[in-house]
Amino acid sequence: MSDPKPQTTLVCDGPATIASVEAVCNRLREALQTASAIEVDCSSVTEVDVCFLQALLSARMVAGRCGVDLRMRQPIARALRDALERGGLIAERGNPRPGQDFWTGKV
Amino acid sequence: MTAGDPGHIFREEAAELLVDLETALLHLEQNPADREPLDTAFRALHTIKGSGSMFGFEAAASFTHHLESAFDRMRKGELTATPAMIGIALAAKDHIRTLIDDPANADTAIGDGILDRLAQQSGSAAVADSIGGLQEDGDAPATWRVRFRLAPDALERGTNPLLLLDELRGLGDAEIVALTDDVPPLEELEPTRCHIAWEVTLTTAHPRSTIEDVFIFVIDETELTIEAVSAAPVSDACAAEEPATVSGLPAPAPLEPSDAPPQARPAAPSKADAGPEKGKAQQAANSIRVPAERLDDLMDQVGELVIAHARLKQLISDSVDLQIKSVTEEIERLSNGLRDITMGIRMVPVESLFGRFRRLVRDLSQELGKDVVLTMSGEETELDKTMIERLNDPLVHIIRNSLDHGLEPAADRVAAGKPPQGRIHLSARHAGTRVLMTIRDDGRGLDRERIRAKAEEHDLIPPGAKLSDAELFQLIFHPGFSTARTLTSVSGRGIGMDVVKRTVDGLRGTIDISSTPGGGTEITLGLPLTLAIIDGLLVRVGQGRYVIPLFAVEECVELPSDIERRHANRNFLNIRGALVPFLRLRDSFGVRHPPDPYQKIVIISSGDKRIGLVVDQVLGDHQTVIKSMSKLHADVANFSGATILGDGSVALILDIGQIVAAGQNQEQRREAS
Repeated sequence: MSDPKPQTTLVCDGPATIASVEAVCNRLREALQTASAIEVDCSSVTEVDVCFLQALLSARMVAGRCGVDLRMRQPIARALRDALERGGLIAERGNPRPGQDFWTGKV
Repeated sequence: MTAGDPGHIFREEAAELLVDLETALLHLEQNPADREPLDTAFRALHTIKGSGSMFGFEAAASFTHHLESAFDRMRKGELTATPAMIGIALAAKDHIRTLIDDPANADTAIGDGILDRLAQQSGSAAVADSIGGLQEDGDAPATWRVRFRLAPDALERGTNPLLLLDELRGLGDAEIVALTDDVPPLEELEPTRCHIAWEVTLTTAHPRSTIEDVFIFVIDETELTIEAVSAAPVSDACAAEEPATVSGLPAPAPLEPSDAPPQARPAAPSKADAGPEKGKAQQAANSIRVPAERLDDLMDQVGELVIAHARLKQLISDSVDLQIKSVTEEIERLSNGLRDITMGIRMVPVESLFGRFRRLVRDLSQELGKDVVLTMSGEETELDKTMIERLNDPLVHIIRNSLDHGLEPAADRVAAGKPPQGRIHLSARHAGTRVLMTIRDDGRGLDRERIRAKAEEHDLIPPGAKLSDAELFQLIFHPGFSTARTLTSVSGRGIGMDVVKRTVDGLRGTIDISSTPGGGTEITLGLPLTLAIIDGLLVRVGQGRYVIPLFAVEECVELPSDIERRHANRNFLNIRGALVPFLRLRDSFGVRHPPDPYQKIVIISSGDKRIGLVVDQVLGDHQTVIKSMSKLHADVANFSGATILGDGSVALILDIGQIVAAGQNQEQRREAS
């Protein structure tokens, strides 16, 4: 019986934008191959753009397919929350957006 | 500052937008009811404001905002594009240019004055209004479903969809949903591409056009649908234009895939209907901006390649190796192709030049109190970019002269049986390897007697000298020559036309003038297509070789031996009944090498003048890569440049204008003696 895959935390801080998204994707790919559970810690991101959000959405898709438990460490940074709200991925009020629980940790 | 500097890029783009703005304003002045120039002007202002703010040109952005607001109101029918308003807008456009190009020296008093006049014209409240102000009181809010998908490379090009969504949210109550179905799994993800689309349910009192304006920067690359899901305001002009899109669909149609053909998607009607604008934008999307210096460098390299090929061809001329000959021919084919493509890259339509003169004619005609219309034809004719830039000043001088001296005041025109409105027509067309650019007015024509009197007064011609019209008209290009009775701020100081002549000569061009008393004047500039490479006729004089530009060559004949034998001092030849003076280049160039027994005469022409050039041998045509003369040789008469031949030696290129003038002077001296 092989060793169980470890749990890992992937920390993203500073600007999480198009300039660094390739590196973030590489780290996510590596983590998805090696870990059974990944916690993405975005508590220190200062700036978030659509590229970064797409990368996490894409990683979540792969995680679901591979049985990896991918979740966001709560509470998420204000910058991330703002971007998610502005981009229509979460809603403060009204109907929750599809997949909103992934971002907010609330089911 | 480098070409990649964002500020520099903005300045370049703003310069183009300001040209578009000016063209649109002038068009609008003539056609106040035309919607297209109004939209074009608004879009230009909106883009300058947005980009200016983004690149740190806050003063320009802030100033532009006021003008943009006024034009937004015009688009909504709240203001009219009166001539006074257009005049203010043109002045504002000039001020915006200063704010962008030279902000340190922009005079705030001028800007304030323009804004004051704008406020007076449009009402002070109007200027204070922001873009997309609310509709009249009483309009009920409507609910719209806005769906959009940006171009895949939009994020890479700096578009931030979150800002677009913010702007939509700012228009009213917005429910935004990201459509993430097309986001691929991580292994397939191109992370800098845009994979998300958005659907926004927006309840707003703003009209549909305001929603469209949110996408004004990206409209041509964006899949956008705007559907009314509740009754839109009746006064919404755009809704009336495209009822099918706003008729209230019960359920939204699925968003089309990103690779759907553009025509399959319903886009914002005001943009989609703007055919030429749309085409221009698509064309722009398929083009890249390259600094002109790089094109110059490329042209230099192509020139060197042509020279190197000529050397190779000469080296193998005696070779019997068929393989080397075959490769050389292949290189020739490729270098010719590269030359043609490179020259093609540098060509731009003369429209970019002609368009500048609309404003000139408008402003000058107002200043002079003359009603003048400027018409154009052949604007699509292409010319080397450098040539276009250098032709600006000469054409300005010619047009100013036409307006000031050529075209009569309306009363004089009516008295002469002409329509009160004067006309200046600019045209361009290809003629062989040349472009003919014509400036024609329907004014009083050149005053022959006055030109003659002035020329005699300045000792340019002997009293009573017999001159053809063409010869007489050429005198106006003499430095300091002016027949204007009064000096105006426009012309009459005798400067300008000699500058025209010098510049056109420098471009290896020619100037022809024809004029009919009371009927008008026509000035035609004959210009080479490019300044870099010309077709030439290579000749030998003594042991030196020279290039005669082929466009000037009419024919080659043999110098009759009896002329040399019996009339050694005779310097003219009978060519099919016409006496043509000729120059012995051996004498002109001080050649001491004994002449060939059978000398040739190359007949060249400039305007309506013809002269013959006696040479020892005609070597044949030659693709001539023009090299400038060094500063040391810049003042050498009769030569306009040099070229490098296949054997590495240098051949001088004859300056046709100077040579023909020298031949004519010789003829006049002969006649005088």
